[in-house]
Amino acid sequence: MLRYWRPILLAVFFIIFIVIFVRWTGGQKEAFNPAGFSMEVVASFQNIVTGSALAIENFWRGYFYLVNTQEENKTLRKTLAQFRATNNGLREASLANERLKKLLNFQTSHDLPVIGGQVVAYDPKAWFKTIVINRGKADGLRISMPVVADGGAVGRIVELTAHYARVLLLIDYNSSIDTLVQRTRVRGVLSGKSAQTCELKYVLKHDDLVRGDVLVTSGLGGVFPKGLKLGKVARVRKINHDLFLEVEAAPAVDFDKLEEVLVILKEDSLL
Amino acid sequence: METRFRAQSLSYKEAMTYLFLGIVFLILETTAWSWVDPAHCRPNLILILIVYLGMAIPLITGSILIVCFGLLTDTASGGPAGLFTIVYLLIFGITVLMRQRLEPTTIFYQMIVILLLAVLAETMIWCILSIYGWPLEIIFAPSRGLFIVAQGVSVLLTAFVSPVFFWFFERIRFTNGQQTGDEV
Repeated sequence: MLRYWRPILLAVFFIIFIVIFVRWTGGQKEAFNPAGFSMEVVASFQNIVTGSALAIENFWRGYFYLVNTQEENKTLRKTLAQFRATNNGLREASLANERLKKLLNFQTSHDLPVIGGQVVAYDPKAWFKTIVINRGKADGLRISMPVVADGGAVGRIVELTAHYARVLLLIDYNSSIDTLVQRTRVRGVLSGKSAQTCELKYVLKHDDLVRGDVLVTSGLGGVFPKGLKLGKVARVRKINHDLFLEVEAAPAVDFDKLEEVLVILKEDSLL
Repeated sequence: METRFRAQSLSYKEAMTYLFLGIVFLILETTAWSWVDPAHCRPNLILILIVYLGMAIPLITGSILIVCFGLLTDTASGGPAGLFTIVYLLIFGITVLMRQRLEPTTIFYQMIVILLLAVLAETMIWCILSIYGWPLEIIFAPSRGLFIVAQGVSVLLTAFVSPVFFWFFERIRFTNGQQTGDEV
């Protein structure tokens, strides 16, 4: 008997397996279908594999989609930046156009031979007020030629190279311009203080001068033509023991925003 | 945090690098910086470079570089010829002579040293301009109130940013020294 225990055990396990399987599928109306069972098992694996493949495919597609979107985003950003730059350029051109129109108005109203120049550098130190423009000897410029902007006088040329010129602004301490008060024709000398304002010197105490009076060049001194606007009187102060008035003047030109200037080409420059 | 500088001669490459830096600083001051800050409330980067060189390189070698900086600034500025050459040389000379005492051991001390030297440089300019005929009281005039404030802010900013630039200059020296095989 013991010799057959192995086939008997195998048969018992087989019967148990069949019983359990029949019991397992017993609740269902369909009878046990080995083909269905194998399909179930295989399909589970297929499902896993397909699901994984789909997931990978989705990930892959998403990745490529993102890459494409990123590329598209980059292109769009680039285009936007280009449009912004163009827009900014147009705005700058429009502003420059306005400024140049004003300069042109100046030229036509004063009927003087002029040449336009652009400010390329400012003085590195606060002590001095000079600018460098991109016009020089090669453009016909000479020392002491007057420089103007749409607001009025800017200064005069003090240094020259072939293609550049240094302009001493009228607010520099070393600048002095013979001046007339437009309303009363009172004379004085407008001196720079290396600050944003100037001082009108040598105006006698009894002279008629009030705040807001326009100051123009007198034409004396041989640098500036007569009638160029210099600025306005900002403050007048009488000092008892002094012979002259203490007059502070605000320049007509905003030197912090100076971009383009005109150089008046006159043959009778001082030097 | 400590910083230590040792005086050593400059290699040609280092000298050219510092000269190039000086030119860049000057171009910056005369163009881009002037557009954004017309009131001159800005750090004096060339002065920081001069003080650094005063602490790091010998008198004779450094003087040549400083004269170049001074002449370049004089060329770019509308001031009397030689003004900045003299001032920069004096600041450099003072830094070299007092190197042992001035050598900043901490960043705070470094900032104080730069602050004092920046004030000294501005005072020198003021004094030299008075020799040229500028009235001494001009900087105290009410209309120049902004000037004094701007100069004060400039001096403070110079001191404030100096540690960053000292570190940067030291890096340049270290990198160049390594490349040329110099001992740093």
